[in-house]
Amino acid sequence: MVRQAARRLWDDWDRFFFSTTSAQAMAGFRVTFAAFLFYYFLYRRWTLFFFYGPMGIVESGLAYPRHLPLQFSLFAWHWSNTGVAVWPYYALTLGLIACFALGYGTRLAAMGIWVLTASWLNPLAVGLDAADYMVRIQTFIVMLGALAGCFSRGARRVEIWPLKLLQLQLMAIYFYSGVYKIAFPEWRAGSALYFVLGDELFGRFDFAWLAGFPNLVRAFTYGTLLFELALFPLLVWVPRLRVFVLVSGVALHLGIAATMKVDGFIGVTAMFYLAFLTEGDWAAIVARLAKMRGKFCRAILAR
Amino acid sequence: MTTELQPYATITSMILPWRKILISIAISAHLLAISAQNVPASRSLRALYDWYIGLSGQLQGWTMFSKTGAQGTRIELFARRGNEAATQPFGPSRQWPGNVLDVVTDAFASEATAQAFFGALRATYPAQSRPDYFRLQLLHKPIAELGAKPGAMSTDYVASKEFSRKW
Repeated sequence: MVRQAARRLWDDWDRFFFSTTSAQAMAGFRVTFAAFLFYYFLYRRWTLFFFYGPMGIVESGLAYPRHLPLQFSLFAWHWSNTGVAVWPYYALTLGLIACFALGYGTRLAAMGIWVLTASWLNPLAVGLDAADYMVRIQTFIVMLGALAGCFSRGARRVEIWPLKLLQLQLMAIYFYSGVYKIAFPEWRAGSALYFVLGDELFGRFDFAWLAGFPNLVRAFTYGTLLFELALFPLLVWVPRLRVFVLVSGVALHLGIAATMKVDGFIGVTAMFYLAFLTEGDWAAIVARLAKMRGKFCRAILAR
Repeated sequence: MTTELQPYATITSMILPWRKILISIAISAHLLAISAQNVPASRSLRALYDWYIGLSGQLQGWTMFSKTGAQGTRIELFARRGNEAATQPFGPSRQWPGNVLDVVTDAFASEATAQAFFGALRATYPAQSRPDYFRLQLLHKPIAELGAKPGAMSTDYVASKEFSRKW
């Protein structure tokens, strides 16, 4: 009996993490993720140069911050006195991202991207937000997958576990975000979104008019909680509801992007969502792109 | 002759069992570590995995927008050269882009952070016209109750924290 249950558990585990997908699907993820990282480092350039650059915050005398044991940074070696050789590191980061996108030395490139991303972000005493945490997490998981050969060229079928880890991470983000929210009275009372949007540090516009629409605010507040605590974590695993849940999530994030100043958030969340696409979805995307752009897309995604 | 197929043999990978077991152990450890980081009341368990979380950069803590209050926040940053009128380097805080917003709000973390921020900001000004004074102010104002008439509460922002620097 116990043996049977253990066997069934292993079979489920095996099917969940070690199913295979087409190399095309993984290449699609790899190229899109690299494109996002390229955008991310361009978007974050001001922060990184303001912190590490000539006469930046580091050179202005800020002590090297250590938050957790073994939290490393290549830049800790030449902190404060000599300054960080910021341009070469920045160029190296973008170069490795380009190599990863094109499928050249994917293992080494993914490892370099993770080391550099952690090196840039770990010591940042100012300017980090949840989106940066997510990028750091994603580069590590993608690096693990790359080391196991999941993003390498030439493979026909590859294991899906790196995408599963990204899926589980997004589920944890939504669920625990909901758990933390529900601990506060404004969220339980259904008024939290009104106060979040009413804070001019976050709201893109003046949302004072929302005070006159309490039911609308309650609907959006409870809708957010429902999505984070139940809709996404539970229903995204039901194959027939997957598309509906993902489309709801996209709508939620487009709403956040339109109303709140959390610019880095939408891109990094989109990368998590990509991990939920099946090989059939990728085949359809590639076919559509191939129709639109012809040889170039086919050549990149065939790698 | 019939061939008995192993369940899922056609869809799961055919990698060597020992490799699959090793990856499974690594996945389990990773999931345990991030769960320990996420569960609010698991400090002792969390300490076990701190080295892994620190090394891999898997820091969790998804508290964004959980703590809201009936208080609106505004940040004002002013720079001044000589006897000129004060200017706002990035404009009013409502117009700050996300990356500037993140940096300026974190500058309130401590006196040391604020002073390092002022130093770096001064260096980014054109050399001929660097400000000789900065002031960074955190202000709050009550937000009207949900359901109240718009404009029912029109009090001004009140400063709660301030850092400044002169050269």
